[in-house]
Amino acid sequence: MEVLICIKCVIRRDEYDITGKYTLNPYDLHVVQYLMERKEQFNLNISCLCMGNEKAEEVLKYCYALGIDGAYLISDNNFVGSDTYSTSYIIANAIKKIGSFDAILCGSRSIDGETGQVPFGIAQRLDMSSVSGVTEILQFNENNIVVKREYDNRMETIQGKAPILLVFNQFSTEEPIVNFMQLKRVRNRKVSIINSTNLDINIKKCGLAGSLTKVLETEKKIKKKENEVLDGSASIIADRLCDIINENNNSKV
Amino acid sequence: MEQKNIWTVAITNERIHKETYQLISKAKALTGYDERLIHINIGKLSEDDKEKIYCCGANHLIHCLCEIEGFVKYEDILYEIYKKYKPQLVLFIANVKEKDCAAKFAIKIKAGLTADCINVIKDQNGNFVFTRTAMSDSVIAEIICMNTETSMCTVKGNIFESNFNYDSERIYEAIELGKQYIDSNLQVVGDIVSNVMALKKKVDFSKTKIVFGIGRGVRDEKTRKLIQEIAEKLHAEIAGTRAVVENGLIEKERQIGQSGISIRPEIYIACGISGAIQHIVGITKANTIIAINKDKKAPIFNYADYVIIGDCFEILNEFNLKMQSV
Repeated sequence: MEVLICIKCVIRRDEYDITGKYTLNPYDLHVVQYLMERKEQFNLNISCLCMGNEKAEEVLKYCYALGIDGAYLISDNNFVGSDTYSTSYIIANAIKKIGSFDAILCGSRSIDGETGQVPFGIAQRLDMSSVSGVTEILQFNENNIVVKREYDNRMETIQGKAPILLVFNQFSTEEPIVNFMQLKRVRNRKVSIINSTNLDINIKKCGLAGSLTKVLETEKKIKKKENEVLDGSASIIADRLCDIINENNNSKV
Repeated sequence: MEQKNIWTVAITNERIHKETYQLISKAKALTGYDERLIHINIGKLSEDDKEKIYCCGANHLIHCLCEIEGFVKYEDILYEIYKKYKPQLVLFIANVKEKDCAAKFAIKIKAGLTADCINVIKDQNGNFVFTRTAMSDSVIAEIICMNTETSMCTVKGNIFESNFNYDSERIYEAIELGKQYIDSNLQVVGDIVSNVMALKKKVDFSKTKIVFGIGRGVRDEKTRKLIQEIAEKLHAEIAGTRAVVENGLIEKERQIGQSGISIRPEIYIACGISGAIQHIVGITKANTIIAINKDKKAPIFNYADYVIIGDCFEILNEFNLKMQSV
């Protein structure tokens, strides 16, 4: 089975790295891991497709180290600023150019935009059946694809034929560690670059110019607070802590 | 002049969702006196449902009924209606089926679509401005549509109030749907398990006034046990960050962060948590936030009411001793 995973790279700020590392979107990481664990069982040839800047190439190399078979990066200045309408146009176009796949798999959303719209846009543009909320793949061959999915507070089993687009439900926060040797081995694996010069695409439908929505402004929702620093020895601080908890709580400390 | 239409769309299976009434009420507030509010309902409706739909302000109810079982291509149904009643604004509730349908319909009719809106207004130029959150819920964004004649959005539930006070013209249009709207490539097989949300393991953080949060700075079992002991004495719950879940210090149901769980205790005591934005978003509704961390630059200090720069074990050990002596 030829399968394609659409991935996105995001800046992930967590306690390991507050500064912001460019990494695989947690919802897409789950899809990659899920398929890699079943690669042999379902006899899969797995490719990853990412639309992003050149930093995404490193992330795709990481995916090679995890064991995928092919990688594509859509990267072009003309594509910058694309909203979900324009993004699905570009990605669908790229997929048509790359070839045909039995299944296209996506995570349910990215942790930055969080719209969850692009996978459906891709399915619509490629005229493919789609199933969302997927939690498990039970059967996975061209004539018989069976998945479990969560839908409207129900768990359903869906059967279909290729080609199909599947949108998975969960995210994964545990990035498999790859060692230096594994990364060295995949250093020369090819990441095919797709851009406006090798795509049959209308530039006017790309980037901000091709978008139908525009962000006017954003504002940080969580405001910084005025705080009080508790100073002194551990004993003094502990006393203050008792006071604060008693003040704010009915059950006394 | 061309009739201006605003649509609300709902897809119902067993029952209509109450969010639908909130949606129609919101749409009514955006509908001009010479504009028509059409509610499109795909699926069953009782007479009471229909009554409520009109009372929320819909002038026109288009009721689509599909007797055939299967995967319905809702976007194709909407397209048929689009040919007759082209809308300038479409609102969907942000449920699973509607979000799927909205995204596909947007491609069909080349419409701008904004997801999970928490507000929609009309600005002085008559353009619709959509408000939503992004970046793991940490920013609020305002969005407008351009290069399109139709603006669309999915709307979050329980943000808007339902208003059942309207009494105006009522038009009812029923549409019978045939096989052409079914995706024959997919079918539901086997048993359907209902009410899966209830079966999921959850921690009820609402039962307690105090919550302790454990982060990566809590490096050992000794400190974790101490926090556990104090929490038990105070009848407090324990939550934590992704790092400690991965290290096996707490169960994943206690993770506050990417999981999307949000808590609002009276007091949140963050132990060894540096303060990734996803975690901050989940705890920001706590009344009082106390943060203990060795690193004076930890971002969590920006969002805490009380800052303690120090070692968690040292501070909490003293606290525990003082607790016992009272």
